Amino acid sequence: MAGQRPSPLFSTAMPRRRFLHTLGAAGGAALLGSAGMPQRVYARKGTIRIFNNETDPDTIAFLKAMAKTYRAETGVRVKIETVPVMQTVTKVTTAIKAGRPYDFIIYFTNLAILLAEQGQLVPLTDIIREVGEDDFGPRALRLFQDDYWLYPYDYNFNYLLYRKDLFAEKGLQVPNDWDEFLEVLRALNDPASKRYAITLPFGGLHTNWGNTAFLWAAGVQFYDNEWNVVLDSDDNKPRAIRTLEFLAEVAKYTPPGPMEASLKDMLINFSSGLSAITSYTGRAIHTIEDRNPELADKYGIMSYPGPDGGRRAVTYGDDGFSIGKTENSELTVDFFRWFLATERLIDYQLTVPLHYQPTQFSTYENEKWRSHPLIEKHWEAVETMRGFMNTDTTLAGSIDFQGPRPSPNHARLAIAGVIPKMYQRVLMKRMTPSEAVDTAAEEIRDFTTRS
Amino acid sequence: MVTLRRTASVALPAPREVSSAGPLERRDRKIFLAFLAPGMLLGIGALFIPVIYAIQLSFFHAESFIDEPTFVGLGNYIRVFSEPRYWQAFWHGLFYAVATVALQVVIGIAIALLLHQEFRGRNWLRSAALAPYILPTVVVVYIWKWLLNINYGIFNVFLENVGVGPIAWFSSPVAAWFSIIFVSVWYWTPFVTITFLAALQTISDDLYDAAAVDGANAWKRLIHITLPVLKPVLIVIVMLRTIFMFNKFDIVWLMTNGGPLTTTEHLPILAYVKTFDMFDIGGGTAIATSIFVFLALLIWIYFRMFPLEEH
Repeated sequence: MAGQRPSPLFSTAMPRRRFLHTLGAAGGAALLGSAGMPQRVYARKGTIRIFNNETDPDTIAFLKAMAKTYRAETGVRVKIETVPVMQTVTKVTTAIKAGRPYDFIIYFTNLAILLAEQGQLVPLTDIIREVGEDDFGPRALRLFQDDYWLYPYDYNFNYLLYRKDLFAEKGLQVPNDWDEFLEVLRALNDPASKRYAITLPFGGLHTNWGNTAFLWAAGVQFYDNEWNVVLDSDDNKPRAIRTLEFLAEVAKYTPPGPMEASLKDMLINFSSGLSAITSYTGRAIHTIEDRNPELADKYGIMSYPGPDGGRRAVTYGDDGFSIGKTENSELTVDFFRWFLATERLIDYQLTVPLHYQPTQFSTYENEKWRSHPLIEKHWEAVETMRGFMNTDTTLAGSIDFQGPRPSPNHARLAIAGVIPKMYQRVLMKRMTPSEAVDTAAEEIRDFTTRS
Repeated sequence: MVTLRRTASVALPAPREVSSAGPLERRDRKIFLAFLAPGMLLGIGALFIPVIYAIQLSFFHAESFIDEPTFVGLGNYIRVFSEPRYWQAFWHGLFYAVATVALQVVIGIAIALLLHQEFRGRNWLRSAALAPYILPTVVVVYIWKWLLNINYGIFNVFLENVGVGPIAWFSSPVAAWFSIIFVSVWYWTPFVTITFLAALQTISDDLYDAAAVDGANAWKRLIHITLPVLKPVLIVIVMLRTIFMFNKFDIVWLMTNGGPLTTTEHLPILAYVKTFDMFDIGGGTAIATSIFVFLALLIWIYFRMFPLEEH
């Protein structure tokens, strides 16, 4: 042994046996540790690209903060691209064509169905069933080809906000039918003082959501259960004509240029006192809080009355999440499970709490959600909004509910602007309501047949 | 002898070397191509390939960009040409281009002539005249939409105060066209002004002095000296502006979306609406291709009518 030459490796005089024992113990400890411990930072690689069409600054800030947290916890990078809602279809579809589809998409149902039909999405059926289908309110979930493709987080109901103080001043009640509605408008309208009764859009694609509830309240249908266009059928046409005549009358009580009314005008006209009624979501309450807090206890919410009373209506315009069929699908599913499990969905909804009306009943019971200062302050409005989820009293109508099932036809019907054009033809006196209905029906037939 | 030979060998290049040198030497040609390559690649990638792709798409039927296209030959062209909406949009585009180019040229020349005069503050005014042109289109449009707003726009406040009443600038076809043309002329006239101003500065004062000595008044000097010198610039400006305005998408789209109804819809908007709003990719690209062909034809006819002289 005396003549044995020491290995350079063990020149620190540690015996070989002891070194091997130490190495073995350290390796075993590391292996056991990694199995038992939570995932370490940067344990996973990859980037999830999120398409987001919610442009509220608070929502964007939340998404960015969430992305940082997720990266810190999992090592997966989350990249967010925010695009205005009207550019959603163009951006999402061209991204697919360019070979860079989004992994996680925040948008709306009718595009989700279009993408699902093209095999571009991963079904969310398992996740939704784990959450519980019963937890979702009426019409929030939509099956297409036996699967769910969108996880809805916001009903986006369009309803009417009105000035309770002005109603009280004039001795007015919430109208029950169209005649009463017109009486209310006449009483509130005072153009000489630059005070108008109502702001409603009659032009632009936002009209599809901002001013269609009277059509649903009147029972107007565009398709039957076989995808035949029935807008101009014997049953529907009189209802559609009556609605157009009524809307032409309503347009007399709007600020000048109703065809120019934008989403912004709908908010500003009401919060500034220019009009006593406007159509919108809880976003209008946020605008009041920001721009004119004096109105914060002077507004009420109502659904749209039917022509002869009875069941009222709101327009449904859901927003939700989808997962793209990409090379990152599994990674994105994990991300979404994390998003739900850590109540990030509640945090997300609370970025604009009165605007994002939850689709899940459990959210209304969630302590974190209920205790938000704005939810607490405007609880009466929240209760009214929740009441719109009662199908016995309120019909949640939408372009998306036309025909037998979800279909790309809904996206075409919306984006082709058939409804706003039908209104404009009447308002500009280019056509009678009857001719406008016939022309709209022909337009719908054209793209439905072509598809 | 020796000295002479050396001098000759240094001073005179060998005849063989002179004859072998073409317009570009081999080494120079490489450098030339190296400089040219980025631009050419960019041109091919950003212009040529998309144009070819768009033309190719116009022969296919596809319901969206993610749909599998099916070949339909000239079917899309036959379909869009048979639609009254196409021809309405075509005439709208022609009207828009002619109206805006005529106004831009007339007003642009007038302002250029004014700014060519000697007066105090001329340089400041020249800079100020360029201001609209350096603003981004979206900013220009939103400023004007705000100024023309029916409820709180300053124009309507003024009109109400003088008893004319508010005008819904985007609700009737006439008012919408007026707004679009007004903003387009306001925005693009500085380009015409600055181009003509540059041309005016090339005219020698001697010509005007000689004409004045011969008894030519200001009007005659304008007709016989200024305008003939401006003619080549005028030809190019009219052609360029016509192409730009016929293709102008952003101002019209941002101001009216082609509305009310389709009364301000021209071909670039119709192509966009067909492609992205109605999911008719083939129809939309057929319209875009037809614009390309029409403008190419227009340029050819234009240069046949007004050839540019070499000098």
